[in-house]
Amino acid sequence: VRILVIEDERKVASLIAAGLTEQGWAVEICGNGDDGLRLATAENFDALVLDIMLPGRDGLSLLRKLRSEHSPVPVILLSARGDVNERVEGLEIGADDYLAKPFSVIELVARIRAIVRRRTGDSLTVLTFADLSLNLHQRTVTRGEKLIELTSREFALLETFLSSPGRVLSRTFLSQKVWGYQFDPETNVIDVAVRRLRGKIDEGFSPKLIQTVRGVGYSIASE
Amino acid sequence: MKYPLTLRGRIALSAAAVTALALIILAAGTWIYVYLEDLEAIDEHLVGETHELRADLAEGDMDEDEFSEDPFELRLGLAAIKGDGTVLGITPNFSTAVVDQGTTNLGFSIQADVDSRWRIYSTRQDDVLIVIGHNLEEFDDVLSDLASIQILLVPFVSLLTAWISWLVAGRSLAPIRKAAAAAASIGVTDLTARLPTVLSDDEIGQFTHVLNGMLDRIEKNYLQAKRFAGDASHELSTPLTIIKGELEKLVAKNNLPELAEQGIISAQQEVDRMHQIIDQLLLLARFDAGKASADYAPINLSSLLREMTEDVDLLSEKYALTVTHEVASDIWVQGDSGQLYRLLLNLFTNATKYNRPQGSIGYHLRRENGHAQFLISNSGPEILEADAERVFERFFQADESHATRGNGLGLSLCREIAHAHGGTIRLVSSTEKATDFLVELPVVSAA
Repeated sequence: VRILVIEDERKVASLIAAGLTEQGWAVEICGNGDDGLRLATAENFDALVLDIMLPGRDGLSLLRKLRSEHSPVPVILLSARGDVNERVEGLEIGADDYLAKPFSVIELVARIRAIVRRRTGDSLTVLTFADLSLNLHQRTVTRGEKLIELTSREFALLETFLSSPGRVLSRTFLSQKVWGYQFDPETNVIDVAVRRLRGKIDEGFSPKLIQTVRGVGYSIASE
Repeated sequence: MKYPLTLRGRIALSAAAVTALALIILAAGTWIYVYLEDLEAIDEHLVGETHELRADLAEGDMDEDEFSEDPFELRLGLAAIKGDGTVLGITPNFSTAVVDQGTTNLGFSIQADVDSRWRIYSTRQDDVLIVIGHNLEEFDDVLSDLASIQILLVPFVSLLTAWISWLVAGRSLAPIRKAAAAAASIGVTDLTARLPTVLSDDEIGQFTHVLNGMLDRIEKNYLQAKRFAGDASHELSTPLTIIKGELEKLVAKNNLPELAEQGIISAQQEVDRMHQIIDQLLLLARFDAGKASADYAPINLSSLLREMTEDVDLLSEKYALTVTHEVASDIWVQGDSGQLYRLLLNLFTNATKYNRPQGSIGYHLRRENGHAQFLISNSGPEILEADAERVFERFFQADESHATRGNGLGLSLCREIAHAHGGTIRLVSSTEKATDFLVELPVVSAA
């Protein structure tokens, strides 16, 4: 898997690159729109991470040009504006996803993985870890042979864990991802939700899959 | 200083008072002048008549004719009396009572009998007392007529002045009234409104001009301040992405020294807080720019609220709160589900956070007069009446000590969301036992 990151902020670009490399993917970085377009048309990439504000040709115009040349490469837009209209415009002209800054690199990597899998025909309807599996279409969860009933938030929480196996996910990340809302640290919504999820998928099973990383957050991993 | 009257009323009243005072002084002066002038003329006349009579008396040719009634001088009465009381002659229009009074003091005097008043001039010539009187009936009539006219005129002219100054003041003050009404509407709707331009170069024209200039500056500053929050948040998002990414990278490393790990976790929490503030500021900026309500569609508020039952349950567990609710079905509003969700979740979070252990939360959704009414009540600390409006201000903290932390943007965002949806949010009541917030949104028919 080869990914092109077109982003003029060097530090942001290298952080993204580090996150992607960690997945075992090859990464190319480019700092301006014109070179980005040249690279994207000349070479084959599995996905593009494209910042909207760029020196030279901006992200949206680059994407338009790319689509007018019938390039099917999946594109994730990055924007500092977080504007609904901009998001709609981006998706309309052919972006596959849109992420507003400040974003979490973990989130970006998870989204790219989803896109790449979709593209390589790897159906993403079932997420699995150890003997736990989650079916996105049927919205069912099984551990071993046993069917487990989850509430909608528990389901979304588990889906988030299974999208980034082994990764430590912070409370804020989970809060944003599952509720689209950042709960006040005063409330312990995430801890309560994780404890309940744990009660359903780990209680009476071995090994325990949901791990607490003290102070940081939670992850799904074998003990 | 507080006046019971409007400026217009005061102008009219003082104009009337000044006019009345001036008229009273003028009337009194005129009356006294006429009185004195007329009396002087009468006196001269009497002196003249006296000289004639004296001359006749001296020459001794005084006869009965002298005292017969002169049809042309009915006002004049003549009498001549000798020292022994013998009446030498008296005109019939003259009353003896008046003459008798006149004999007691020489010179000018005013004497009256039952039906008339007289100006008397008495002189003595040798043994004869000459009394000449001028009937004052006409004189009195003239003066009393004058007084009546004056008495009528003073209030009439004063009222007229009051009325005219009322009109003039009203007309001159009209631009100020309009300006006040216009100024009152500015800010409620938008800051671009200006006072109606007055073309005249008088005080009012200058006043509106100055006010409009001031409004220009306020609008400019306001827009700058408004844009600033959005721009600043925007500029902060890239560095924040970097900090977030660096911290995530570090946290993923195992075997960090404990001190470093604690530092990183703490920094991460603060970055998240900043992220949240920036998020809310950006959303507020979008509301300010009026862009947040562009894609509104019918939303089933009842379903949205039911989906949140689990969240309320998760939120309330920590404090072991009792939750009661009552949600009417199929209440639809025009809006954005993300924003409405945020509004409700903010209220639920507050209801949980500002509560006591084993306290309670109650909420209901009802349809009332074409409005969806969402009422949320909790057993939180009392919000003082003075703060009832201020809790919706940006960065307002009821608790100055920040004992319970929040960034003070939550409720202001709730209000923006409610307003963008054509509705309202307010603090209905707050006592030591319960605090109630009410959200009202206009209902629409189902999609």
